[in-house]
Amino acid sequence: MLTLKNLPVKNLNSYPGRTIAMLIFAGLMSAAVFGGMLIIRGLRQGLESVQSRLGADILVTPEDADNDFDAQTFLIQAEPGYFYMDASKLDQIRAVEGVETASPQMFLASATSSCCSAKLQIIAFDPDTDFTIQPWIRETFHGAQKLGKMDVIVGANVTVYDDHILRLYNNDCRVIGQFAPTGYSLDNAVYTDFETIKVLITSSFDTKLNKYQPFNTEDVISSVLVRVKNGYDAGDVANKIKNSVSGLNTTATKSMVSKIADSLSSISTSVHVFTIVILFVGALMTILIFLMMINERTREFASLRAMGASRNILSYIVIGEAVFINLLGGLIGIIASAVVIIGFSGVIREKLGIGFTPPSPRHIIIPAFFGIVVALLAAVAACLAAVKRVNRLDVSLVLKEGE
Amino acid sequence: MIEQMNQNKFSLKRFIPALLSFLLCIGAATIFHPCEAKEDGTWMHCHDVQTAVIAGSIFLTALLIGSGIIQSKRYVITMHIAAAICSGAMFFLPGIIMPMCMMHTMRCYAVMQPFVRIMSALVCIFSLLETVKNLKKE
Repeated sequence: MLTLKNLPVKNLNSYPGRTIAMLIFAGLMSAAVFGGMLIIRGLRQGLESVQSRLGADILVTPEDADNDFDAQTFLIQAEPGYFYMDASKLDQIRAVEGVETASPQMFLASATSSCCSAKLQIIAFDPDTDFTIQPWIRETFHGAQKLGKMDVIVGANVTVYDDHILRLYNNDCRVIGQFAPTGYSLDNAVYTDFETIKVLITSSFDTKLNKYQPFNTEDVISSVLVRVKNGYDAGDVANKIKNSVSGLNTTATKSMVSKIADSLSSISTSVHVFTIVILFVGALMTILIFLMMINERTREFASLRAMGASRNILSYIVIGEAVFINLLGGLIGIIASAVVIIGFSGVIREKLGIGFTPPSPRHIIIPAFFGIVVALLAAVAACLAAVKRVNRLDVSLVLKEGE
Repeated sequence: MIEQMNQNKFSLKRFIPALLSFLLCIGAATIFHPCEAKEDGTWMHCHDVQTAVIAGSIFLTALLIGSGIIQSKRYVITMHIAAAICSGAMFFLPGIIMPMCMMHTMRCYAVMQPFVRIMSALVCIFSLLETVKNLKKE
């Protein structure tokens, strides 16, 4: 039965082509606003996450590690690599003025696994002095999580299928947990302690898969993470370390992140411009479609007026159609946008070239709200123009025109 | 007579699930393919998943084309329920039912898995909608 309540929906059903066009424009506007906010939020979240994970002020690596370590790309597109320096460098670094604490790390890259061509970066820390990975472990596991012999924790991008056992150089390592994603290369690594990595390095020599000649694992480290004393500048201390200890490269971690922050800023600008263009075109098209619709339906509205429908009822029909179609289009746009952005977050990360982590459900609510509001605002703008035109209708003139 | 004509009316809407599962098959074989072969020429784990997805989606397409042609409502309902179950299973195929590669950054996780999940979810939703529609008619 045709009632005033279902009349707007019946009208929309009667003109499928126009309804689909309006759905597309409403969906595009919501998808642009929601998707843009989601991408920027995900990029910021990734940057904040990696800043908190880096923990140290200076990263010290051997001078001859240039082929395996590039500080500027390390966080974004690091290929698994390993390099070593004399462990005695650690004490020399600790002796430099301005160094509050220094902790060594050891690296190794796994051989390709049976499943695929993936190589893993293995990073080992010294539990007694570490101040970067252990806080991350405490945060992830809500308390102290002790690594036993041959225990490892994997980054968010590492998948383990075989009953939490990761086979590295013929050793079965027990996976005791997985870190939350940061969106950066830290997610591709396997973390363990010195005791375990020394076994793995020895096994890599035994299997002849290590690029170096066998050495005593007690005498080497790969890098040193340094925290600077209060009142000292990280750049100055990094220079002091480089000048006073030979054969080292130093990188202030702030400089590693600053390039990412610059990229984030330029991507944000592009996303904003794109969103504004889509909004402008979408809103304009919605208003135009509604005005064209009113022009097409002048006889229908005039007939309704002649049958006794008030101007308020005609306004209700127009507003009902606009709100319904924009709300539906907005919802479809938001769902489609969320599915594509969250589903293909890996591709987005690769294409943008900086870390992207899909925001959690509670961070999705605000962008979704704005997406719907934008679609409704376009409906209001279309209604204002259309209702004004409907209210100006001269019923007798319109009906006479058709005679 | 008119009622019978309406009943037999050829509706393209009935073939939307079949079209989606056909796109799933074509996509998994072409643009949304998983990782390439290893340097030594052997295939990675995700290649088996691709084969299973293509085989599954060919079966789904045939099933759903059949459901669009057959007139008996009971067969159509049964076929759509079967298609919904199959596409539901296909959603969990990459990475859960069948193992894939080791890193989430690899192509099979970044490209093929989301594509298969989105398309199989759409096939499942449309099959269920067709089931409900046909149950109402029945």
